Formats: sequence, C-alpha cells, structure tokens
Amino acid sequence: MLRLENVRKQYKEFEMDITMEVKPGCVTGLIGKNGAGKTTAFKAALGLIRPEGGEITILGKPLCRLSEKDRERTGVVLSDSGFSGYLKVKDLTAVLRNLYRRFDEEYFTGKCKSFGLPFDKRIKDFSTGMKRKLHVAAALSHQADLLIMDEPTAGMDVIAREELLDMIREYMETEGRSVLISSHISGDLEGICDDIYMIDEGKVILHEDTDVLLDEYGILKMTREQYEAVDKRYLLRDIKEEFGYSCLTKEKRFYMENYPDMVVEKGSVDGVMTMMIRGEKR
Amino acid sequence: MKGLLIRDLKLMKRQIAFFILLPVVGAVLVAPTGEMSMGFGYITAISGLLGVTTINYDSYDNGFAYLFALPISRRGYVKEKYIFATISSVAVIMAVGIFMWILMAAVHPENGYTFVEFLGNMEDSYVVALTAMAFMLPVFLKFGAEKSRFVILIIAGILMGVMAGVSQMDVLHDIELFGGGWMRVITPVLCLVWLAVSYLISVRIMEKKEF
Repeated sequence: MLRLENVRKQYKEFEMDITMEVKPGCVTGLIGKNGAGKTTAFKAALGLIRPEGGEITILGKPLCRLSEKDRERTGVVLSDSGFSGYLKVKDLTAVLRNLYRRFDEEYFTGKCKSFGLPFDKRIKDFSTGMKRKLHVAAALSHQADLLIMDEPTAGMDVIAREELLDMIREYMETEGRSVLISSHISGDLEGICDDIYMIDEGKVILHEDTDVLLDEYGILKMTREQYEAVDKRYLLRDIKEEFGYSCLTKEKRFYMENYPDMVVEKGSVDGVMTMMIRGEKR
Repeated sequence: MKGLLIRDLKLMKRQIAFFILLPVVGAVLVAPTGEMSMGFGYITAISGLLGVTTINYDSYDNGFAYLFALPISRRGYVKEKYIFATISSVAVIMAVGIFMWILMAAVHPENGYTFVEFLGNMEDSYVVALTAMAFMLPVFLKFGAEKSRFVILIIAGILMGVMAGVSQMDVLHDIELFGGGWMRVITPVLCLVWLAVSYLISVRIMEKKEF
C-alpha cells in the first residue's frame, strides 16, 4: 500500500533516512518523541516535501506518478494543517462532493453531528480536538483504500478518542484497506496497530508486530548484583538506575523462567520506546 | 478543479459585505464628478486583487499542506487560481461597471457617455486587471502574503520608474500614430500571452515548493 525505501531528507540540523512499509490489510503505527521525524515521514509519503533520495511507492505506483484520481483513494489527517479556517462545516460538503467521486455525504454530516461539530461556525474558531474530528470525518467519508493520519487523536478527550479508534476498526472491516497512524498516546496505538515503527532522530530504531512487542518484550529491573550475574545474550538496551539497572529484552519469558526473583515488567509501547531511545545499546 | 472553484466561491461568499460595498464606493466616485475614469480605476485595482486574496486564505495556518494531500495536483491548483481570478475579475468589472454606467446615464446624461465608450473602458480595465493579476499571482505563490507586499512594492516602483522614462520619449505618440484601433486587438493578445507565461512560471514555482 505504502512503501518508503531509504527516503532521505536533510534539513539544517536534522536528517531523516527511513525505510518502512504499510502492508495491505494492516494498521501500521509510527511513534517517536517530538522532532523524531514522524511528520517529515508523513509529508514525504504525501509528496509535500522533496526527499534527496530514496523511493516512495503508494497504492502500487511511484509517488511522482500518482494522479488526482489516485489520491481520491487516500484519506489524510495532518497534525499541522487542515481545511481553510475561513470555511464552515456546511461549506465543506459541496467541496468534498466535488473532490471525491465516492464521497458519502450522509456519513460525513452524520459523523460531524455525532462529534458535536457546529455547522455554522468558522473552522478557525474550532478547538484542536474539534478540527481533528472534522478532518477524521472527512478522511473516512470517501471510502479511501489508505488512511494516512498524523496525530489524529491530538486534543481529543477519552470518549472521542475511543470513538475515533472504533471508526478506524470499522473502516478496517473492509478487506484490503490500510492505515498509517501516529499518536503521542501509546495506548491508542497498542489497541489498534498490527505493527509499529519507532523512529528517533530520523531513523527507524525498531519495527515490530504489536502482539510481539506487548507479549515478548519486557523490561527487567535488576540490582547491581543481579545485573552482574544475569545472562546478557538477550538484552537489547541497558539504563543505569539508582537501584541498579533497567534492561530491555525481547525474551521476557526466558528471564521469567530462569530468574524468578527478578522483577520483569510487561512490554508496552511507551516502556520499549523509552528504553530504545534512552538506553545504551548492548 | 470543480471542488476548488466551489471552495473559493464559498470563501468569497464570506466577504459579502465587501462585495456590497464595491458598487457603493463606485457610485461615490462617479456620481458627484461624472467622471467614469475614477470608477474604472477603482474596479480595475479591486478586480486585479481578487485571485490573490484566495491565495492568502490557502496559506493561512499552513493550509497548502492539507490542500495538496487532497486530490489536488499543484498544476491543477495553479490552473484553478488563474481560472478563478480571470472569471471573478471580469464578473466584478461587469457588475460594478454596468451599475456605474446606469448611474452615469441617470445622474449625468449631459456627458453623453456612449455605450461604445463604456465597452472600451471595460476592456481596458479588464486587460490592466489581468496584467496586474498575472504579475501578482506568481509573486504571491513564491513569497507568500507577507513578503509579497514588499516584493510588489519594489517591482511596482521599478516599473513606475521605467514608465516615467518611457513617457519622456515619443514612443507612445508613435504608437498612437500606428493606430488606436490596432491597439485594441494587440493589447488583449499581449495580455493573454503574458497570462500564459505567468501561469507557466506559477506552475514551476508550486512544483518546487515544500509544505
């Protein structure tokens, strides 16, 4: 559905070099701390910036050959951009109807109503969460094959976030559809993604199936003595702590079985990401 | 394209008070003096700016990024801007022009301002508006709303200087001798060529831009 291969983009003090793929039928998450390059990756995938190298394939075509008709097959939510703030929701139906041949007006207006969006208020006067809801409704309203959503849950309350995730789950019920999504709330991604890319300083530092990440990864909490004695073959990252060491492993069960006295925390997106970024590579 | 045109029309609709004010100001300029030139100067300036105004709306809050993530190509966007600006400026010139002509005929019938003169003024107004618009659109697309004001001020200053220099020569007189009738044909053709060149420059600017 979407493939970025060695896509390089150089800014003054930042360089991105990324390879990633969103497979058909999959929801792929992209996480990383602020400034890690998530938005740059999204913009590269959408052709909004011009990478210095690499190849981008989207919907089976090189990005440079993507026509307006092909773009109708994508739905997009961006973190830093949206519809003109001078428009109102009631203006958008006519615009979207003429941009997308498969625009479902009933769905769009229904979602806007269920999100409680005012139809007669300028978009620039919406809160961040309201703007996100509007763009999500627009992205889902034209039966796209690929959703590209950068921080779609930003500014949303818990209920709205859950509603949005349910909308994505419902969207994925149709075979062959895919989603690339980023969120600073790891719980959102844990609940919905099939696989997750972690990026830091413009590079992919980890790519893993979400199930594997949650089931097989773990964080070991050890005293200095335990650390000296432990089998370090399956440790990926170490962080020196006041109590001793925190270590990331992909073989959680091995340590649980062989070191029953050791504290082993279940893997989580946040925990693994912190270890991958802050930890020392073994 | 159609979606973008509708969007720009919706944005224009938000300025309904501005459009109501247009004929009012036109009437204030024309009615007391009976001089149509003031009124046409005014609508020429306004109509030339219409296309550029919508670019400001697009650039607000980094709006271009989202726009080009939708099924809108950069070339398609530029094409729509030129079509919209061309249509909106002729609509304003015609609507306000006809209003001013009727007003002239009612308030100053003694001036004997003919319909042929009126049409000539409309054509002149439209050609000047398009020429200005063809100059401003690529500048606004390249530099954005803020910087464009300075760029346009500088270039307009240079052009005024050149025109002042040209007016000192006998070139304009020679052109008059060549025949005013021909000028009515040549000027619109030159304007269209300039518009086409401007469009190609704008496409190139947009295709190189990052958002």
